[in-house]
Amino acid sequence: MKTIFPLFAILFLSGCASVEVHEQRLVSKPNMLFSRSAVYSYSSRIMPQLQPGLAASGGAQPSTCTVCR
Amino acid sequence: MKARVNRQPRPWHPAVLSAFVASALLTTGQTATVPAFELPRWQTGEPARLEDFAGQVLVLDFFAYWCAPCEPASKEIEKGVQQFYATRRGNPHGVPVRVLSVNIESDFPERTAAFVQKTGMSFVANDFSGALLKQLGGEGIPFLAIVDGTRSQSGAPRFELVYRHAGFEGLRRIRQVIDGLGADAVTPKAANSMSPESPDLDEQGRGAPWTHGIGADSELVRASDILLSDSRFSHRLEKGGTELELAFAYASFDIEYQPFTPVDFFGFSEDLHEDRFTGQASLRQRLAQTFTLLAAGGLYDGYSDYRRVWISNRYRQKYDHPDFPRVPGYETPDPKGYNLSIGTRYEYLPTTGFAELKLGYARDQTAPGYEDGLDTNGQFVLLKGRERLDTRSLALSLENVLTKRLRALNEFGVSDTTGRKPRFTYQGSLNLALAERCVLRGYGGLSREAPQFDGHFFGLIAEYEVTPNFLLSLTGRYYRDSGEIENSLPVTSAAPPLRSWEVGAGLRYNWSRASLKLQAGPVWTDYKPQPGIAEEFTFLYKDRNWVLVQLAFSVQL
Repeated sequence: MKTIFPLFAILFLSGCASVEVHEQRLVSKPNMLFSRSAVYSYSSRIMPQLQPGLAASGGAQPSTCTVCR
Repeated sequence: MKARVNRQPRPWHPAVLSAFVASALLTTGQTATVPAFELPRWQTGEPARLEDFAGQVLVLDFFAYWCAPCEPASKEIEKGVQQFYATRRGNPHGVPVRVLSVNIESDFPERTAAFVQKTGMSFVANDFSGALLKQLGGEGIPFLAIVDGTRSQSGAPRFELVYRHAGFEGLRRIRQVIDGLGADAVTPKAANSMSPESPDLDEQGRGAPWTHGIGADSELVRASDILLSDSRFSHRLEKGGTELELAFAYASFDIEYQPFTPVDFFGFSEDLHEDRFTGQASLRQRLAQTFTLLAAGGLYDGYSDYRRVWISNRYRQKYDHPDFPRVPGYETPDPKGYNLSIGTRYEYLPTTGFAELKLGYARDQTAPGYEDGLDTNGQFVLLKGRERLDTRSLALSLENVLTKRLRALNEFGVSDTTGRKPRFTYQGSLNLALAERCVLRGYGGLSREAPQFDGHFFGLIAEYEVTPNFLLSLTGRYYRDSGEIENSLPVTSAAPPLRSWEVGAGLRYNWSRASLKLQAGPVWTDYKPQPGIAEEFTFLYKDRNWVLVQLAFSVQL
């Protein structure tokens, strides 16, 4: 329950907020967006090799150790 | 200058009521009457009145310079609607069509001027108070409204809202609406030479040509005995509601291999080099106003990471040593695989709230592990680890604007790989606009898999805009995990618990159509000595000081 409650709180916060169009200037700047472009994002394709817990699911190699259970 | 709307006796009632009524009527397929308005024209301040468009079709394109999707939309609308109908003397029924671009941002007029010039807008007015946008029910930009003024009579202007949409649906949809107007106009116009069924018009109506985007990025990380690189080239094509991206990536692994001779008697030092080639295609296709289909697929050939290269070489030296015959059962590894994914993106709040759901499948043919063993007769046998892995994954992400300074992204994932327990991942990211030129980006996440893997991390990025085009950044991240899961073989090659720190500094420069990013900094990895980890992997899991360098470039053609 300790883990689930904050997750629900996050979902609630994310889903219910609504900001008027005229107040969206700052949050619409290119560096405020979550971009897939390598120029604007800070993710790395190499770092999951060094820090295996960074690897998100869904890729071709989601496992961190191919001989592990 | 403030936008003036003729009917505004009360502060909020007209806007809310109009928006509600417009929304209800448009939802049921009916039209709503547009109240009269008068907006000051951009730069000159001359009035642009609704009544000026009696007998015409008026397209209202609401924009702001800071709205990223507004730029391509406005560009297409100016060219594909304003210029398109002007050269044809109106729509197929001879009704003149005008585009009025409406700017909602009062600050930084020089940036608006640059935006207007870039998009080629010819007729611009201001709605700084947002009164007209609200009256039409606009909740996000780009916002498009089509007003039918063809039913106006002399002295009795009549304007009906026949279309409104937050987000650009493409020229085809806009022209479909425009071409259907004026057939039963009160004041008939002389029809132009093209009918709606004209092949030329139909072909033109498919929209603007494909736009192209090119991206190239390269990463390099170096320690005293390891050099890793990963470079990617991508080509993105966009047209209307379709986006297709094709990408090719190359990764290299260079390792100065060193055996731990106290337990690895026949091991020898050597320089290793391996490559990995990857091809990936992804498609985003808008299916409806708020739904987009996501599909992707890719292939790769080569090792997934440097540890697999190191471990595979260890097994090769042991079971396929150049001075001894190959041990029966050992096979030269040929790692490769493919992945497929499908999903949908749902815009649950116009331009500010997005939910994305993806289902993925990946098959990996790995470089398996080996271990000495005995069969039931007590004879030596080479035990081989699992070679083929199938992974099914589910990922959900939610992006939302929380306040006028906060944007959040929450990503949840679960993946299930052959012979393992499900792995759960979460990452939360929060972007905060501290000031006009300062942005703070914070993130944190965790990754868990039974029976014992537990990784978590958090990081912070501070960005400062030196000029509107030039940005500096500082980054930092802390990472920790509990060590990887026990091996299926008697001697584990799994990594021990790890702590890692990373800091960096970077810059980004934007030209009108291109952007460049450079980022660099040190990374430290610190493995905790743990009983049960085989000594033969001592030099693989030793503490290292790394340097990470990232370079990225993108251009819009």
